[in-house]
Amino acid sequence: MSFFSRKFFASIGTKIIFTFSGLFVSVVLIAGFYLDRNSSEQIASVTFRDIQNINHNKAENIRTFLRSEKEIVEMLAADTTFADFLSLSPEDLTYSIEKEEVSEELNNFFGEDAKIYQIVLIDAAGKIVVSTDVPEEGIDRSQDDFFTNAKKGVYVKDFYFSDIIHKNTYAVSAPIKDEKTGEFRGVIVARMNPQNLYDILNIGGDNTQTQENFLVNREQYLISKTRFLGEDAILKKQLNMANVEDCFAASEIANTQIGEYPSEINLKNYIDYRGVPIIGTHAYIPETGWCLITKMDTMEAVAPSRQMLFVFYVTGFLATAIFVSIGFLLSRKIIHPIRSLQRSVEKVRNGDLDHRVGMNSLDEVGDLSRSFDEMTVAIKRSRAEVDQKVREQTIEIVENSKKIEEQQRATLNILEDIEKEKENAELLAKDLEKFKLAVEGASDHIVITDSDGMILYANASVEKITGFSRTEILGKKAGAGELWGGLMDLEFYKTMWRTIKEQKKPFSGDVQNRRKNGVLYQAYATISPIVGDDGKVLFFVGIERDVTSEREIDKAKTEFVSLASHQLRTPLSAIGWYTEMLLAGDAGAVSSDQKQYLEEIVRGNSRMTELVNSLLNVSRIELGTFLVDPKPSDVADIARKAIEEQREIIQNKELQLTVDIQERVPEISVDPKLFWMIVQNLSSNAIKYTPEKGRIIVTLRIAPKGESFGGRYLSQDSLCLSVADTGYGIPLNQQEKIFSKLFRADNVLTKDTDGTGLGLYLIKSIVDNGGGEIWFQSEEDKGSTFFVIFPKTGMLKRDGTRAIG
Amino acid sequence: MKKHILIVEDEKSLRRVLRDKLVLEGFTVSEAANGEEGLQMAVEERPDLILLDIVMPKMNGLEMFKRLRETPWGKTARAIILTNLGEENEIVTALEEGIPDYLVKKDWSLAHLVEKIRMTISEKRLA
Repeated sequence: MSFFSRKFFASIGTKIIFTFSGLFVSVVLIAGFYLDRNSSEQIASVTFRDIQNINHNKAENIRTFLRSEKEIVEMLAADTTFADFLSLSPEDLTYSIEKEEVSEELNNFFGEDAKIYQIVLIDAAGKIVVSTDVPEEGIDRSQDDFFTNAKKGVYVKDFYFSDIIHKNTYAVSAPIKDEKTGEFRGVIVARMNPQNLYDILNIGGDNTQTQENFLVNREQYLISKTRFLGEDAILKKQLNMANVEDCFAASEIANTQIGEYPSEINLKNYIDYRGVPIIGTHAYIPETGWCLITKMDTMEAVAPSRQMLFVFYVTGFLATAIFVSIGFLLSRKIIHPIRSLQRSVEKVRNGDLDHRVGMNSLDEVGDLSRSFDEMTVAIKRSRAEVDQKVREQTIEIVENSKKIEEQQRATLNILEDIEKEKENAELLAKDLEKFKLAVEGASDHIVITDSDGMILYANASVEKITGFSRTEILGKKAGAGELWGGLMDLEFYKTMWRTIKEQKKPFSGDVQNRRKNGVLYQAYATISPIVGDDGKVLFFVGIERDVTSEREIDKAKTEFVSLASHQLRTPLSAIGWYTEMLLAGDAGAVSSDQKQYLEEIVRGNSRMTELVNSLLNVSRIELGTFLVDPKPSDVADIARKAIEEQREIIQNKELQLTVDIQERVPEISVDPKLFWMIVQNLSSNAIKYTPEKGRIIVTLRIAPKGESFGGRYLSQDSLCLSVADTGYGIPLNQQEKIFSKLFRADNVLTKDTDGTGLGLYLIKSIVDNGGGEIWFQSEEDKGSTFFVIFPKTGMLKRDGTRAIG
Repeated sequence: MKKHILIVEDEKSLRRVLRDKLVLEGFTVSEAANGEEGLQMAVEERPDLILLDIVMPKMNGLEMFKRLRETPWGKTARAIILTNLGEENEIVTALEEGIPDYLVKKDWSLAHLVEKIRMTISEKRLA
């Protein structure tokens, strides 16, 4: 981890440390700022009070001192010796003696008191008569303020420089008066040593660096030393400080003269003579008109606060440093596992799927580590699966590309084949030309298509019948919707293509077509594949005949038959019922001859009824659907009864009948009438078309799925009926038409004229509609076998509108 | 007491043979040649059973029976429909509307028909 890199700043630990230490430092700074402001103010005001106390004390001391000096001088002046002496004239004999005495006394006094530089005695005329120390006798001081002012009482002369004694001094003068008369005799003046004052001021006596006390006279000249200005400044330096100005303000002076110093002077921040901010105060000394200034530099005053702030900051930043260090260590401790997890993730990402983080601590990182390890295992597993799949698919791709190569080779081969085909085609085309010539004039619609149904040729009748011109027709798909076709259902086309293309057999059937002008017509179409030597379909030849009118006639015929049958029924019923009454003797007894004749009528009538019923059934099948209504039925019983009805004819023809019906055939859901009709028709056909003494075998059973029946494998459990005979059989070339309506094979037409040609047609329709199958095996002159199957589940219900029977 | 049967049949020959047979069998018989007539007679005479042809001029059998059902007495009237092959549509309609008690085809024998008539009349009415 390198410091100051992006990563370092992005790391969680750094964020935590920086955030919290930043917060901490801010708190310290803000707290320090307020602390500083508050403590500075407090300390300043405390200092101010101290300074004020000092100032007031010293001012009091100075005043006391000055008063005592005045008293001393006054007392001295009251000594009668001086008054007596001054009353003498110099001519008096005792004058000089007295003068000696006075001088001695003054000198004594002077010597006793070191506060005094010099004492002079001035007579009433203002002339100095005696002086100590420095001789100045005879000098006229009558104009001096200490003389004139002293006439009225004790006077203090302001600070001044004395030329006599060459010193800064101030003078106290007091009048000398006659003891008895009170007459003014002169003045005594003492020039004072300011050292005493200075001692009281005691500048720099405290343990401070800048606190000082000094005196200023009325003219605002400095009259005492200061810390920063020596004796030279005395009487030379005029101070215009605001502090001094305030002191000499008239209000201050007035206040001081009536009593004490003002106890509360608000703290003011002054600037001193050095231009430095100070905390200062002042006291007016009325005895001399001086001002005592006491002050201290603000800097020093608030120094303790500054120190405290410094200590506070040091402590604060030390705490921050400690906090940061601890935070750093803690974050290292938190981040370390995350980092090691991250290193593991990188390892895994770089493909080392066997690497495990392996941290088992109980905290969230431990959980994460375990989850990650589980995930790695899962990835390894799925990677292995993917690898396996990729391998498999790679193999497959390789195989596919091989196949493609093979296909390419095959394609080349095919191209060669196509060349050959082309040559063949040219030959065929010639054949086709001949064929075209042959059919061009045919009255039927004839088209030739390629193996995909694209029209290559259409004869003249196509144009005539469909209304499309040959240019419209050629190249299009035969039977397509854009031409005359496309109207049949999908199943029809599927069956057709399966027949002609896969089975390569001709297909024929009725087709609904539409002329170009939109008129619909019915055609009977036959499509035949032309197969080449190689077994491939080369062409299809489609021949269609417009059978619209034929079909219309068919329909009309059916309707006619239906109507006619219906109309026939009523008289048939009437004949039947009247004959029945006659036979029953309801109209009187009948003779045996009459009875025989009547029975013939009944037989003829019932045959007629049967024929009419058959015709009706057929017409109904052709007109629409009929009802199939299956219900659980005893099929074995139905079959037996249907055959039993014909026992008389069987016996007449001496036919050998075998009925092989499985024991205990379960009830099967069939329409009993329809099933009866199937058995009845098949067996009656067998009887009809088998010569005398022939053999008929009827079987009925339930066969399981997969078993073989009539040459077919059963696709499900089935009800199986077979009717076999040793009769005339069906000629091979007519077998296809055997289920057609009104069809009767050539070989039986000569032998039996009884058949209607409707039976098999009807049976086939019934079986188809009921979901069964019917087929046969037959050989001419050997016999036929008809097979019918229905699913064991029974006939399909069919909601037709008409029942048969 | 003799049971009363109303024959509604447009074909005169059939009507007559039915009448003769039923009279011989001991029934009281009335005849109507079409639905209109049949309806009127049924309401007036309240027969025990109506033999009803379907295809008739003026008013067919089904229509007649439907109208009869709308009359107070008609609700309990009983009928046997005389039908022919080729009239299955009408039979289905009749069955759907719950009209006939029985269907009898005309190619059944008269003996069979008489049996059916006796059975139908002797059955207890459900309605």
